[in-house]
Amino acid sequence: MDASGVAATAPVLSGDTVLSPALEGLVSKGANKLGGFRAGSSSVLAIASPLGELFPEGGIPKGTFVGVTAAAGGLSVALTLAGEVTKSRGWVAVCGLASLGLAAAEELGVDLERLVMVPSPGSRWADVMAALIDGFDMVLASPGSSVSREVARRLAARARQRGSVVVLMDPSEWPESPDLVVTVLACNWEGLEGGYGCLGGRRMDIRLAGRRARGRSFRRTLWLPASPSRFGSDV
Amino acid sequence: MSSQEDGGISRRAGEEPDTDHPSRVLVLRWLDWPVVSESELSSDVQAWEPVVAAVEALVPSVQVLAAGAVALSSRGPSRYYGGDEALAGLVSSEAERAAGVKGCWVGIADGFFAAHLAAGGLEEDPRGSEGGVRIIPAGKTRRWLGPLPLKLLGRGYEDLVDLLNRLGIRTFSELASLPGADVLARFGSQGIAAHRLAQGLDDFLLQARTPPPDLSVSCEMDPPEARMDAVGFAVKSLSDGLLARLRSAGVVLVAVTIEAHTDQGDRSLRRWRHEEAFDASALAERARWQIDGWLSKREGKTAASGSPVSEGVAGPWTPLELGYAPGVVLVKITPEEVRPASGRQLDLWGAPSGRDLRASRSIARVQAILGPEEVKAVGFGEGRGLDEQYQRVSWGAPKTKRSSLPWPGRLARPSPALIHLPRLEAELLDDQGMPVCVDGAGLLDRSPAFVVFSGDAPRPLVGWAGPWPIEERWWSDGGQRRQARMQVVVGGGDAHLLSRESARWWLEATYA
Repeated sequence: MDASGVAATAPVLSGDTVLSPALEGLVSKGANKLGGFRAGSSSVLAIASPLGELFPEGGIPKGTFVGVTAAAGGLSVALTLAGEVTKSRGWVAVCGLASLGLAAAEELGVDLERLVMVPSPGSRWADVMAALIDGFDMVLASPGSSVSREVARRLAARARQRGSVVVLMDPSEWPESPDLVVTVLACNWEGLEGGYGCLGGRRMDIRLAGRRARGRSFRRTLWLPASPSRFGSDV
Repeated sequence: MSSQEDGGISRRAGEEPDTDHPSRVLVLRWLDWPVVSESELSSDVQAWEPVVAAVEALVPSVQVLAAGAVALSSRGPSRYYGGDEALAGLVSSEAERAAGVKGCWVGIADGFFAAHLAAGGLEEDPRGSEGGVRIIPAGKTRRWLGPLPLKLLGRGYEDLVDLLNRLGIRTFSELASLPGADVLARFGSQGIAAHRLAQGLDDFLLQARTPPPDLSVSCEMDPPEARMDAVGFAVKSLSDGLLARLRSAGVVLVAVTIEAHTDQGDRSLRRWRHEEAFDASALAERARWQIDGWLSKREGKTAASGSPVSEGVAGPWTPLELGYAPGVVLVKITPEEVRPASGRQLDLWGAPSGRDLRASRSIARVQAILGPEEVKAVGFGEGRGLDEQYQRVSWGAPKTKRSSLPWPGRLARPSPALIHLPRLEAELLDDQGMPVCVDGAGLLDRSPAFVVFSGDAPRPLVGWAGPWPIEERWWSDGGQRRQARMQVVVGGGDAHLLSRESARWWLEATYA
């Protein structure tokens, strides 16, 4: 952004050629079309396996809206994705979700130094989301009350432009269908018997679908957590 | 306050005249105020703030020293309040009242070093909640210092004192009686500094705590400016000018108040604080976002009705009862808190990355929209409750360190991802529909089969474990807490944490 405060949508050329985020996004998308630009490029938010194997490109393409079902383990999946972002020195913002358990977030791999929370955006939810999309690599949000289609489209466009991934918990009320949808189909806890033991890990059957998944759906069965804060693949 | 203002020093016949006469200094401190590290200094200063404010109400310019002490020039106030004793008593009672803690020491002497020693610095001074007042009459400082041991010179002088002691020079009077030129030749600049202190001469200068008011900068706009980019330019040049002046004074800006007026008479006032120090663009951006967010909020704009706030105010206004858009007429930036510039050098890996800067700009943006307290970072707390070890603190506020205490009885991993605050009502039933209770021995009286969450239908349990009792603060009269926790898994895969307290079941958290 230049000093006048008007968002730079035109490329700013200075000593080194610095491309605006819009152009950068175009370059990456073009490269993708040329076929198989692998994960590790700047166009994809890399997710370590085994959860990363759920995504066809080895991670979440930057600028996508990801919807995660809120029931039965969805929040833990979302937190694990956030943990991957902080591990590669990115920043994660949480908008809403005031009941988020921070101990759980840390156990799932989130670096709490790189986590910023806005628990009560209130009536300014959309403005706050716009500001967060501008600066954060991932925004984890629960949708504010009755968002209009217009606002949803505008936020999606902004995310695409800035290359920020937005993870929406419980997208059932969202007017636009998200680019990727992560659904937890089944969830089985281990560790509790009739009266003794304690919760150890759970086996989750996760499905990924949506427009960006190129019309297919992917399923994985994963442990979360097998032992504290570690994903294990069910092989 | 220099000695020239006084027009001479009173001397009694037979006393040795001092060539310099340092001003009278009053030092007020608590001996056992906890010493904090550099990184925690800001919270220490905040805790110290009410005391300083109370003393400042009595005396105009006060210097805050680290580790719980203030110093002030006492000659004028002493005359005003009727003597050193009266001043000392007044200041100490006000400070004790503001801090809520007794036991402060007040010392008045010529020069800061002696005053600091007088304020409880001697070995035989009792620590703890007694406190006291010690006033060294004017001109008697050197005589008072005489018999005191040299090790009271304190930090930084240890090697010199060690050497002097081994040479047989143990007290201030012995040091002061040595010729100055020889001291300089033999012991160097540190030696001559100690020598001057021993003679009752002190070069310490008191400086005012707050920057003088004329350091605030303002810019008036006539005609009133409604376009954000013009306001932005004005703000940027204001910030540049202000920071240049502060830089030449050798300080950096830590907290600032930004004020804006419109031609309708509205005023926006907000205090900003930076984790490290403001640079010109950071300051200008905060001013811009504060004004931008304030103006658009006044107009009742939401993102649903118009363009998003970040594009600036240059866009179609929806004027309300006026025929025109309100314009900004005045922007004023006042430094609130400054810190000596330490000339930190950022190494290659220490400099904030582009992503860090983007994130912090975004945070400042949201703070401008919602207010600085609405953006939270993770801080650390103490406790064995569900999330007591973590706290949400305002972004930019000083953070506490992570607890190293074991806290037995904490919930084991994995931790629940959703913590219900306030906790919800629940009921635990056996297969006959009878309620399940926890008896005095911490065991369930029936085998649970169903759980009911407020108002819903009963859900069958697939697994359960517990109860795990917790008893907290059993020794205290009002703060006791007895609780028992249980984990349950309902059909469908959801796991929950229940607790039993005050003869009722509660849903504390969900493993979402």
